[in-house]
Amino acid sequence: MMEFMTGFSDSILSTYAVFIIGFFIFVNVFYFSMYTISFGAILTYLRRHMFCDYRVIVQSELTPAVSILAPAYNESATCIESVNSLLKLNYPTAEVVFINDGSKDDTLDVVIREFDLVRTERVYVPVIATKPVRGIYVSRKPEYRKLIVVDKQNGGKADALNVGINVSRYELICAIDADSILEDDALIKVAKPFLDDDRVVAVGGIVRIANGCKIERGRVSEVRLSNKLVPSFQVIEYYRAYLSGRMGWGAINGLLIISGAFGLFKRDLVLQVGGYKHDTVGEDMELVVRMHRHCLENNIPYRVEFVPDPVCWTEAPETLKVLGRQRNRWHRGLLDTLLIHRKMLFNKRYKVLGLVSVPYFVFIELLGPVIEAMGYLAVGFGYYLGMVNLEIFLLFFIVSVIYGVMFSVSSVILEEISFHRYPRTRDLVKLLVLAVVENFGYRQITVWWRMKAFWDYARGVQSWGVMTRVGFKK
Amino acid sequence: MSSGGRPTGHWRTDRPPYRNHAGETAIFFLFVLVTTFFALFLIAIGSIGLIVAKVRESTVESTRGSHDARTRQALNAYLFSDIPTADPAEDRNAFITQLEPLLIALKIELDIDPFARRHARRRSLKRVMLQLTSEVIGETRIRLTRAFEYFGFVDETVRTLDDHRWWVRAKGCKNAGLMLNEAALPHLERCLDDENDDVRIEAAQAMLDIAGVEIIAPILMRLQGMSLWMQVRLSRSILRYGEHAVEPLVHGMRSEYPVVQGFCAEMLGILGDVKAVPTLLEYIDYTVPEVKHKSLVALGRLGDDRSVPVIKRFLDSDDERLRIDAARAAGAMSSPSLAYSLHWMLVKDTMNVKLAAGEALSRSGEMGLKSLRYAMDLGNEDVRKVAMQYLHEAGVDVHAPREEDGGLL
Repeated sequence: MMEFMTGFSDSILSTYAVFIIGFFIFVNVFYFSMYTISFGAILTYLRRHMFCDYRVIVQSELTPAVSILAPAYNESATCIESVNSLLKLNYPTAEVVFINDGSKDDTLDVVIREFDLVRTERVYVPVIATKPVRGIYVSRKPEYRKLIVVDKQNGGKADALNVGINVSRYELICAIDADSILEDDALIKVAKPFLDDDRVVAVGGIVRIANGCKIERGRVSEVRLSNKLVPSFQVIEYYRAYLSGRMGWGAINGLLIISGAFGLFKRDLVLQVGGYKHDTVGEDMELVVRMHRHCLENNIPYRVEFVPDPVCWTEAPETLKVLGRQRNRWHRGLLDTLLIHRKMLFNKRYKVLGLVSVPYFVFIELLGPVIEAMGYLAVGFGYYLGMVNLEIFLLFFIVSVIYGVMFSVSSVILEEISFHRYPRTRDLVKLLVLAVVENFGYRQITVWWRMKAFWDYARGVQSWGVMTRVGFKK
Repeated sequence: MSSGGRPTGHWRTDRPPYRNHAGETAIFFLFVLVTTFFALFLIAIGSIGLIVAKVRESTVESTRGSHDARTRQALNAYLFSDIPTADPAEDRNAFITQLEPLLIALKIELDIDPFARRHARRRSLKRVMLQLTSEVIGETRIRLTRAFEYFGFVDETVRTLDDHRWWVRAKGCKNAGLMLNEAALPHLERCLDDENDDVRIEAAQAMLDIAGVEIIAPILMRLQGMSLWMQVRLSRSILRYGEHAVEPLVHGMRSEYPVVQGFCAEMLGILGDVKAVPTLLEYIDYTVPEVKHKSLVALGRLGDDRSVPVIKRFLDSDDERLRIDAARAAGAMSSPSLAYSLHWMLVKDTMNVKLAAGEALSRSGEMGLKSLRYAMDLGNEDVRKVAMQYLHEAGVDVHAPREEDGGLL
């Protein structure tokens, strides 16, 4: 019996070892391919950028109008600055729809006072069902004519965005987080793909981390890396995710995620698919996947693109505790979305999405942490049983770290040769060092958070978790 | 069972730590070696490349700066020196003949440097001259245009239009436009059929810069499609010509491509010249919905009374989208004669049309506002809300006591 058990565990571990090596090779080949595609896409973007004078877009009457949707919940401390920053965006025709999602603090009062708002009878067609709207306000002052404030019963971010979509009037809608800071030209740059190609239905913009940066009058005036480790690690992660990941996915029309912090959509299509789903914590990803699905199922020619240049600055969690909550939520959102749209997996009807994007997100993004965690467990277990050659394990670990470093450094290089947003050399050196350091400890913690998300999902946890913000450094 | 100090249990064996077979180990080591080498190679290449690029950038910038300063100095002597007066507007050839000695002097000045630096000097000359295109006007601009030709930059640029890389072709088109040399026109015209949108846009833009308003109609007739980006780009140049652009745009309405027709209709509306009305009225019934939509909006903007019957007809269209467009056109016209139709749309039509009609009435002067106030008193809640919304947007205090409006409807 003993021999049988030993033989059994031996064969399981050997099989798992082969699986892990196979998975490792597959993942790295995939990342390498995606990096190559992203590199090509960024070069193309930069080349096209040479022929684009954005002032022409600002001055033209033909530029499509945009409704900016800014949902807010208990944002009384930052809402004035956010709204002012949105009203100042460089764009020919835009309205700002600020949605107070039943805040418990005095967000609404603050906004009413600051912008001299009066209640109005604004009529709209409530295409998407939402929680009741308590009132719509507009300003008496002509300088705030572009501002519409909607007060509604609390229903979550997705519900607030849906109200915004119903109330908005223009053909493009821009969903942003009320606490993010958009650069002056961000909206123009993210709208450009809609001008280039009439098949474009959604465009995601890059989100960067504002921690450590200097903020003046609602604008990032000096870009710096945070002195704290946790936000700095996230800078590397964002580089990998956006520049090496989403850029490549956009190039092959397989982009599944447009960040809730900054995305531009065709309003008609969003209405057709029913708006944001309010019973998921990954509503931003779910909407994009549903839009893809709708277009593919109805043979509508379409494109979902990513633009690496328009910048939305956001405040990243500064403590592991808050970051853990955020990553847990993101992973639950990913799991939920992939379960809702499981039909697409390996379904050739959904083309690139069914055959590449969804399988990638299922096996690498969603199950990757599980496989990695099981790898750590298997090594421990195997070592305990005396079945692991420690030297080989260490070699394998070193190789995986080197590969991790390679992709992180590549992302930093990509950023440096393209947009070069961190001007200080010491920030660049710090990023290169962090690309190595993150593999020891930080990476394993993120694996744990994402593993825990499965457990929380199984328990039916639907909360967003409290996102403690320390506020932008002025 | 002893295990050398390690814990024991049911799952624990007494055998020595696991050892792979020699072959497996060798393969694994090979794998590790190859992949590690590959990864390290890429990291090293990337990092070195990054540092080299940074160093090179600063060196190139400083060399370029000094080259450009010398070139600009030499060019200034050519561009701003006095010559026997010959008005280029009267006799361009005589003017250009007078430039020849200056150009020879400039060439000698630039050739003084040793051969090894000639290429860099030439690139610098082209760069500085291209920069100057946005800084100089009038007679100086003609001197600059002649210099592009004299130094062979026009031919050089035209050759790039056949390059296999789209961005080289696009840049060629852009530079050809800045050089303002008519010799480039046939080559640029060929680029209007390019597979790349940026090349087509730069070619059309360059043609407009070189040949002016007269080339608008040929460009529009040649284009087989227009992205919105192309429309945005070209609209800027076309609108600069004002009323002179009306005729070419009217001609452009004859294009067989609806997107070009739509663009022309939209531009005609923005230009606001009523000479375009007959053409728009002529085409409105024979085009696809997208062109109808743009023509209706254009007719509204032009505000000519001849359009009223057509707009009225579209206000009764079966197509909701066209009714909305017609309502907007009616709003833009601010014509009291359309207020009655708009009022009934507000009362009886779908919510989307109600909103368009409400907005149109709010822009239709006193008659429209009266109509909205009247609609506020009707029993229908939706109509009342729409009317209130647009009265509010028109700056009317809907709660203020009012005089009897009577007799409107």
